Amino acid sequence: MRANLLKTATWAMVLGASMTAFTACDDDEDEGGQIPPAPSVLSGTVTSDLLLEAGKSYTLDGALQVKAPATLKIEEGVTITANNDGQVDYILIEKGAKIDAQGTAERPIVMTAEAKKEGAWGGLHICGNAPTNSGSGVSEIGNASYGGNDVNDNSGVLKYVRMEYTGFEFDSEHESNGISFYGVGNGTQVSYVQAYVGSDDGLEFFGGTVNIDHCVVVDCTDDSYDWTEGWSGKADYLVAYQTNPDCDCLIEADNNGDNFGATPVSHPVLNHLTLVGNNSTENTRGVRLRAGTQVEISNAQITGKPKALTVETTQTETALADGTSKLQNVAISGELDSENNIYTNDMFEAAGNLTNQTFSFANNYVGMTDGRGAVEATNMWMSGWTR
Amino acid sequence: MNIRRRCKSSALLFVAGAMAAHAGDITGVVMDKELNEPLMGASIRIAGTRLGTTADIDGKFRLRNLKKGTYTIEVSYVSFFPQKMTLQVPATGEVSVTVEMTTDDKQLNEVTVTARKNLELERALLAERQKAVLSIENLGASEMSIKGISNVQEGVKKLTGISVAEAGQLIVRGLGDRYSTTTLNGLPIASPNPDNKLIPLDIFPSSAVQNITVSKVYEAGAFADYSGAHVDISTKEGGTKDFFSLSFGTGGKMGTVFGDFYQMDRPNTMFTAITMDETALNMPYADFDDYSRRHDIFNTTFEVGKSSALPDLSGSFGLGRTFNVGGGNKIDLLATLGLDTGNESLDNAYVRTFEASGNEMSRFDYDSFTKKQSMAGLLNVGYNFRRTDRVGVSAFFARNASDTYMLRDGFDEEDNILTGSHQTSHVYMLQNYQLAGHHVFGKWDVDWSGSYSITSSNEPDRRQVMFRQQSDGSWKLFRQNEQENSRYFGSLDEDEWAADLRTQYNFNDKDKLRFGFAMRDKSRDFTCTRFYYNLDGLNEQVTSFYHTDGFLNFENVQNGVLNIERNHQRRDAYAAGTRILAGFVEADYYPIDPLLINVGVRFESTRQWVDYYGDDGLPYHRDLDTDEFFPALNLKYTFNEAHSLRLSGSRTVTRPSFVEMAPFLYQESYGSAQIRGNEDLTNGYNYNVDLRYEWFRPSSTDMVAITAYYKYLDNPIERTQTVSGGAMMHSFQNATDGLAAGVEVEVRKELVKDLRLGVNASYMYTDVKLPEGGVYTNSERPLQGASPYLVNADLTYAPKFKEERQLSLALLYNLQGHRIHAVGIQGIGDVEQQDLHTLDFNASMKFNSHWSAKLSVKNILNTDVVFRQEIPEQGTEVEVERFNEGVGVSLGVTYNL
Repeated sequence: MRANLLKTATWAMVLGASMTAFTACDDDEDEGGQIPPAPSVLSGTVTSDLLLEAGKSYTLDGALQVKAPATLKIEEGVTITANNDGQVDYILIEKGAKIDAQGTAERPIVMTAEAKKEGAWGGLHICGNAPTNSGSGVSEIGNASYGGNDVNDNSGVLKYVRMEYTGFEFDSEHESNGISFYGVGNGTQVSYVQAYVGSDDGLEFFGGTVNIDHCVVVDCTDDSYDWTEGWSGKADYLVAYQTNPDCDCLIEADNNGDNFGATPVSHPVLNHLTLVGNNSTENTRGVRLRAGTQVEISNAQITGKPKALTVETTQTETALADGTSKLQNVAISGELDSENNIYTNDMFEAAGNLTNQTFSFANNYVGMTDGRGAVEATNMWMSGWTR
Repeated sequence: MNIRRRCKSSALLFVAGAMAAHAGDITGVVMDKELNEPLMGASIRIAGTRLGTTADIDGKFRLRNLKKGTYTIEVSYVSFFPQKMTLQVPATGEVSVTVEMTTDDKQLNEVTVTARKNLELERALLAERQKAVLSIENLGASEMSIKGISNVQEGVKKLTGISVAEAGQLIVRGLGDRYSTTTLNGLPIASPNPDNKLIPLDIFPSSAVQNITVSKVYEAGAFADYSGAHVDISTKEGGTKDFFSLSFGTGGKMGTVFGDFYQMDRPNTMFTAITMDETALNMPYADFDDYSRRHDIFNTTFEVGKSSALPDLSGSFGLGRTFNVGGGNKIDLLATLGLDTGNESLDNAYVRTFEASGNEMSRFDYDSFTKKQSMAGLLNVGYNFRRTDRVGVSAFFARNASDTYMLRDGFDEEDNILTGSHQTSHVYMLQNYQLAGHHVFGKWDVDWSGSYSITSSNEPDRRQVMFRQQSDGSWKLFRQNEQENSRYFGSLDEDEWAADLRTQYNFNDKDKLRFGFAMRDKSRDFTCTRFYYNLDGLNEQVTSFYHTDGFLNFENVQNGVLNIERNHQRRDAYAAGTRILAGFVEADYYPIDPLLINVGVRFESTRQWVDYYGDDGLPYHRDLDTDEFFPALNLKYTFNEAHSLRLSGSRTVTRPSFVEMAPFLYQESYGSAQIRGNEDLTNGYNYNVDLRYEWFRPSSTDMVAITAYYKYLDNPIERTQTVSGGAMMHSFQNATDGLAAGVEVEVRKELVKDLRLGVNASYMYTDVKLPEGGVYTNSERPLQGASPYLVNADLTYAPKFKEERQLSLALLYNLQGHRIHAVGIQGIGDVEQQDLHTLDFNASMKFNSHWSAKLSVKNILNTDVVFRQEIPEQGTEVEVERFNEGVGVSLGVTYNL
């Protein structure tokens, strides 16, 4: 009975695949350098360029896995909806392949799901050739390798892209983030991206050097932002906003959980943050710097958590104490919580940072004080394309 | 190993040529009457003199230069009735005689052993060893009984160079499970454990086993997929004498029995596996949500019950009958059935993890409670005809079930304070049907056999509830991931056909040519489904980790507070198979009398395939096909009746298992590693050289064997580690090369009358170089699971009082050297299990021909099993895991009719 089931399913999938992505690629190969448009149902492995046309709606049925050197081009206003059949749906850009997703504030690209709830689908995964400190890793799903020596690696462009309802349970140990950046290099452009309602992290970085700006994470129930394995990009204008009490950290920052001293050490440079937690008495930590990470954070406001900012591990605290890491013009509710007292609240305050602050925001997270924060009422860069 | 060993007959060519001599000789051959086999080592003496000799390997003897006259010879052998014969010796020439010896059953009687045949006896098995073309080791039912060995797994651990790692994985000469093979009466047998190549050996209870034969060298007559050991389990067969026996036993683990014992809810006894609503398991995804609200699809809850652990119970019966059907033809019948139940608990065990600079990342303390139940039955019918021929049919059934409840508490890598309540249930089942025949046609021996086996591994309704401590000290269900509160149903089924046809041409009583054909065809299906509990609507009051029925109940599912999500990805099922067609030819050739050359070559055509789904839900197929030759050479030089030297060389293969050769994500059981196979994985090849010296003291069980071996492993398959989204994932790669070399010593000696010492010890060196690019800390290391030293020692005292009263006392010691338990990654060292010393005691007493009793105490030293890990950056070592299995005591009574 099981064997039969498997065989039936096999045929169904072969047919499905040939009717969708594969045939599309083959049919339109010779049209004068034009990228062939995709069928309305997306699935399968893509080995040559594929176009999702402006304003159109597509259904994602299973995995769309883009292999080098193909580019997945997504035009403005495209909506991709993962279907609700119990099977995992995700988009994976392998090493050497690219995604070119450029929406506009008026016509963003939306990747969402038929089931309008967290955990409905498996999100976007981008693998690149930039360094990580974890040796040879593979993506959480799709078994794609990532990491390399090219800090300038280019995995394409994400602009005005909104991810919704991610967090599907891949297996007993993994759920999907909104977007996972695996060893993505700084030739990649990531601007104006939102992760909205998910059951794992919003944006997570596994090593790499990619720079991001103007990102918003709302109600992703693990961490809003997460980095590990040696990420060292720049991030400007980040918003995290949590209303769901199950949401964990606003930022969970690791160098490497198995080896605090692994190199290259995580050392991102973050500027202009507004991070607003859910005031959970259980998920108490806001920004959690730990596992050996280094960081530079400036112009930030962090609130809505009993422990807005915690520093843990000897390596992380020592880097803060000796100036390798920097916290400048950061205002937090409450005080800095130090695990080892190598870098203390006093040192944090002595550097001009503010503690025990109260904050008031318009529209959940709009408002800046003395240059601190991500969104100013006069420059509502998140308007129109986020929710 | 000659896998048709049991059906072997020795052609008795009786040479009575006239000889030119001035005095007469007595020549003859001593035979075991029942087995119709030569009785090597029998002592022949001329009555009233010191003149005597012993029978050689073919049972032959010669007493030379006797004056003409009348002589009485006395022939004796341990456990046989002595024979006297009076002969007239001529002035010249010789007189020939055949002496048929019958067993002295009284002397043979072993406590609690039921079915009985010569190949259960240590003395007979030692003779087999000495006589064998290959170097082998064996263990018979009687030795198992004296040593209190209850199943084959415990038995093989007593043999040289063999240890058993977690989950019953056999490690032979430092080589893991993949380097060994198991056969049942010479025919291959499928493993229901997807992580292991070998069937769990504890599925075979001693009550059904005649003997275990282990060969660590290769001969062309066997399937070539081993380098460590070929373990052949011979089930009992009838034919010696009629018997009926009943045994009953009880006992328990100290600290477990009569103590508190916890198990999650279960509707029936362990005789049946837990089930669920099959409709809900198989229905379309879109219908599940609604259906699961209207039907209570599970037959269990998460509620944990406490009871008092009852003593272990065991019972078995055995029956043997032989019917004469005329013309000297016989039908023999043997049946055994056994049932065991037992409880085990671990208290205050813990496991913790560290990162490379020495910080503790997580720690969980746990208590676990395991209920075990095993059943096995064997039915064997043999038809013996034409004095030399036999056709046998056998059916073997075994089922091992275990239910484990574990309560863990501690903190995870995220510093969450957690308590986990886990229940797992596992059922292994085996059915094996065999038909075999042995025929003699003049100088030709023909053996044929076939088998069909069905094996399954069923893991129904694994359940997990995770609690997280709140800031006010109270507890709530852990909600971070939906997987935290879940169920799992998994099943794996295999069936295997095997057939073997071989003939032997006997040029004379020594030189032989064998050739034959064999096939095996195995197929497997696996599927699993998970159910996650979405708790978003629930506001639970946790008052006890054991009592969850108040909130994790069907009512809350019905009213929508709880949502059950069914997760069955396409990749959660796979199908796979292997078909091997093989042919071989080999010869036993004696160029000079003391030298045996066994040379052979085998051809195997192998087709191995896996149908699986990728993460992307698309179907994939992988084939691994090879056609190749495996040569083997076994030399044996017999200096005299006691001393011999053996040299063996061969090339063998190690094939990837199904889950290793295809890159789908897989996790067999709770807490086990996530595994993703490798589509580029290929066969590894093994080049084996063995040198062994053997000394068997005639007419005794004293012996010494010294073995040196060297194995070069070409492209060995090694488990490797990588990271996937921050978590460790295991995979498999062909390493460049590896080696295993070592020395083994085995000594058996009767110290004084009835007091015997047996010692075997091995020292081994293993080394493997791993491929570049992994995250493992050491790229060159010993093989995983390989101990540098292993020692077994036993002291047995078995005096006989009066006619039928016999005592046997055995003290057994085992030392398992430290070994790599888990490979360290990202700069942290390997986790090593520390040296483990164990001591068991077994006593049995036979009161009369009907009643006997036994007592056994296992793990007397009660040592903790300890694991340590190196922190290279700090130059320190930390303890990462510790548990204690406790002392086991059992008492048994047997009644023989």
